[in-house]
Amino acid sequence: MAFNFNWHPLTADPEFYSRARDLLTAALNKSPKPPIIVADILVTELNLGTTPPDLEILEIGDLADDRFRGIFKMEYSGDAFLTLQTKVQANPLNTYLSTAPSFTSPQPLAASAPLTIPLQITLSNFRLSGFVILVFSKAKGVTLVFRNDPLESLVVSSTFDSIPFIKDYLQKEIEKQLRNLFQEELPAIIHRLSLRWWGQDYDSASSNTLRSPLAQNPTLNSGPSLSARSSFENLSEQAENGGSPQQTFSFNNDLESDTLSSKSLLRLATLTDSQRTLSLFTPSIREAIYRAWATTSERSDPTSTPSSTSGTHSSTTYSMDGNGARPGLVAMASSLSISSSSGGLGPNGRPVTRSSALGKKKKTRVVNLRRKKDTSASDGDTSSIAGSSVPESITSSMEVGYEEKEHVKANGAINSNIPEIKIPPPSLAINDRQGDYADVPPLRSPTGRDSFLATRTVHHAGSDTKIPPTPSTPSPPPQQTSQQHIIFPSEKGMPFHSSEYSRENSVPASLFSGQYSPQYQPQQLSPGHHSSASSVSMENPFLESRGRTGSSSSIAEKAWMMKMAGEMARRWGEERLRREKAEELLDEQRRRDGSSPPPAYHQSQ
Amino acid sequence: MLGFTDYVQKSFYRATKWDEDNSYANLNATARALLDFQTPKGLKLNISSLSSPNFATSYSLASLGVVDGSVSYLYSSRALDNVRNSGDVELKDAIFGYRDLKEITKPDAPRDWEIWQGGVRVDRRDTLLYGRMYLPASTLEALYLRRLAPTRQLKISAVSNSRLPNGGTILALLQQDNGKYSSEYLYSTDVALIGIRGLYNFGFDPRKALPHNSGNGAVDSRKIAGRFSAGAEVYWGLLNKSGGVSTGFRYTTLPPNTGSPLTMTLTVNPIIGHFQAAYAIKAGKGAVFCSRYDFNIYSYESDLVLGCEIWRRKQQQVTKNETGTEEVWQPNGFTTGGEREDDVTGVLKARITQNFNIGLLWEGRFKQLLFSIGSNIDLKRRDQPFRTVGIEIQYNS
Repeated sequence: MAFNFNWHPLTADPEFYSRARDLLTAALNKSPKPPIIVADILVTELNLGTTPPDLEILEIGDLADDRFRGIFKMEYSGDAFLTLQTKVQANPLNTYLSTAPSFTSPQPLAASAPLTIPLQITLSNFRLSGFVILVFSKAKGVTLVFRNDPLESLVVSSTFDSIPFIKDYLQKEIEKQLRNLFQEELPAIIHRLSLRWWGQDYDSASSNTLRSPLAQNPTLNSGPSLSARSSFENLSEQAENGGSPQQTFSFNNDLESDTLSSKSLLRLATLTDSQRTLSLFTPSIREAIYRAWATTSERSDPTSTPSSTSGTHSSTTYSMDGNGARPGLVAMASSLSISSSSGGLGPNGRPVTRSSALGKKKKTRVVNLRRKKDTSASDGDTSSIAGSSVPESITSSMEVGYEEKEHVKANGAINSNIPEIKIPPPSLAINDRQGDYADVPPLRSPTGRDSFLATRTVHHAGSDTKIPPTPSTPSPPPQQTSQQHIIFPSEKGMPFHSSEYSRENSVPASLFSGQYSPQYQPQQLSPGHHSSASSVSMENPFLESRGRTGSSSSIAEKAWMMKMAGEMARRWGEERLRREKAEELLDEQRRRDGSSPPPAYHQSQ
Repeated sequence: MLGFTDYVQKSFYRATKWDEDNSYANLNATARALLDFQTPKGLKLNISSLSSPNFATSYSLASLGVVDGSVSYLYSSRALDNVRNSGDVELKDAIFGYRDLKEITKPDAPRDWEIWQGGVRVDRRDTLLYGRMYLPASTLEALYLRRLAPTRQLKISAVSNSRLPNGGTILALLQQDNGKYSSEYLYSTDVALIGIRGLYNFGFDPRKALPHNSGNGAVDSRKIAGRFSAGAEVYWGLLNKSGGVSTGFRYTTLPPNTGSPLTMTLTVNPIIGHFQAAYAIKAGKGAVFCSRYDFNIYSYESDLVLGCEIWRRKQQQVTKNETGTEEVWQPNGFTTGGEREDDVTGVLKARITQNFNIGLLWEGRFKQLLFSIGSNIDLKRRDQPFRTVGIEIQYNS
């Protein structure tokens, strides 16, 4: 692996230096200045020199076309220089008295008279050595953090070189300021600069973050057709918000994690549109990560991510906490399916605020708890996914997804008017889960994907908050709740597995009972009451979809997790959430307008 | 306005016959009082009491965004009978203003301070102790003042604050005043600063004054012309190896002068190249005008400040004052001036800099309260000309 660092193109931009000067000036004047400096510090000259810093790669935690995270050891002894202009107080007694308390001041009569002298300071011969953490993302710009104090030495030459006291003082003060600059201000400067380089993307990002609270009420979206429109809606909104680009900077990834550039949105829209026609053509998305890539790269470089060593990573994530706060997993699932199934993407409506909150929670990497089952369960999937080329998999999954929707449509009429539901005791759910865990066979990929898509469709159709474990019924389920329950029928007369989760306490066990049941067949699923209930809020559909994804494509996820850190996947997931949210918005709007969606995607609300 | 503890310290100086003005540090006190006065910010309340002639307490509460305050205690070994409460205090004692310099007097002989009782010397040196605690800021100020001899005084002041380097500073100041000349030696622990200040009064030497001059009331011709003083100061910081030098001159008229009282000062800092000339004149009995010009010969920076103070008197006593004023011009009758100040109800101070920064301060007395209302106005900022507004209320008992 080779990296090519371009030092000169950075400085070839004629506007680069002026921008950098402005930012440096602002940064230098922000912190309280020492009393000897009585005017603003002005950066008059800045030159990065011709010698690039020596970078030694210590660790690469995340690597993709559009993002990078790594730790470097940086050594710099180049010929960069910086010239500052300011005014200094030339009377040391005045400087001293300005900081001393007045009660003990000797109160000289005129010995402390001020004399301000314009001063030109040239900082050169930088000697830097330190550990740098560099995080690059096309959407979020470059974040560069010094882990230690990088400044070893520098030469300060000024107008006062002949006066040793002032020279020493300046040297000391400037070193102090520079240390502060390197550790606090420079990351901010670099980030802002990088954001200006990709200013358009950043604008869209900021507009997206602005819109997030809009989708407060969970709405249901109807189909993949909306994704294109949603992206355009994004564009329009971005145009609206573009007038005031946010300049707030934060190192918190979560704030800007659900960002997607407008260009990427357009491409994704094209992709989904093309898939609606069931054609084999798939536009290539430059910055997209395809499943095949993930698998192959995982094989080639299995130790790239140190924290995730086993493939069980993915499976643990969703099963760990009942709150469903696993956006990383969702993200992963979505990242796999985002290019493959537009149907799975679109219909997954959920409260967006919740998802974003979940996304904030998810920062740490996931500890693996159950590795055996998941590995066994996902064994079968690996080959198929890895072997399939990207467009094929996309189309196939697309077909499956539509097939599922047909089923849903067919069953919808039957089950639409079933009002009653039974809520079994929770112990039953636990038992169910244990049983499921005991006999989870390896899932074949088409089935798994089918089930995944199907359940997602069902969820989308049913849009339920709670999925309680219900007593089993062998036939396509007549038990339907008005608002809060969804029923998962099983194919072979097995006990009816379903999950119950609510917004606050979702039971993971019951979650898995539905998802892991091997007999689970999507064709038998009750499509829910997509046309029945009036106001159905779909609280946690992504839980289901997540679980489904885990079972169906867990191998791919495993490989994925080994390859990618959690952040990346989460970003994908949140991006998907955002798109879905947009679709929900559109859907709601359309529903308000009175145009009814196609029956397969029709949601009851 | 003087704080109560500052006022008590001045009273201590008066009681122990210490001439504050005969010091190089106070060479331009008039110009500072007229041009560099502080305008209050926010609301500040002071409640003080001289519970016994030797002991004073003062509490202050300031509200400028955050509420902070201070508690101060003062002890004086000399009974301070000349301290008066806020309803009776003469405003010219409680307010910095034009300094009417007194005639320099011959210091007491050390023998005069000795008190013998039954063959044993019982006199003690007068001491003033003062402490002040700023409460939220956790800053402690302490002052130790001791009249070592009729011509000497030791002043040690200290500030303790955790935010200061080394936790605080101590300033030791040994002052020597012989009337004809005075000298001060100081040491500050902050940067190990040592300093020497000296002032020399040309002309009349009180030590060589003829004994009969004071007795028979005959006017010594050398006393009338006013006083010309010259002084210098040298500082050197041992730790930062930097110092400062300045020299200054002052001419001021003395009470025997028949013209308008005026004070002229010129200070020069030869290292920095700074010149400062101030001129203050008392026009009439209730108005003082002052101007000060700063110039730096190296940077050509200059500054001009104009200021005035106007004393407002009670209307009904104007006629009395008219008659009293007539006596002022008689050298013998000037001693009655102290009584005439009683009817002052307030002082308006104003200054304007060349940057059109205006400071206004109105200090006066309302019933038993001393108050000062001030504002700082920046005419260059049209949107927000009032930079600071404040009122300070003081009650002493």
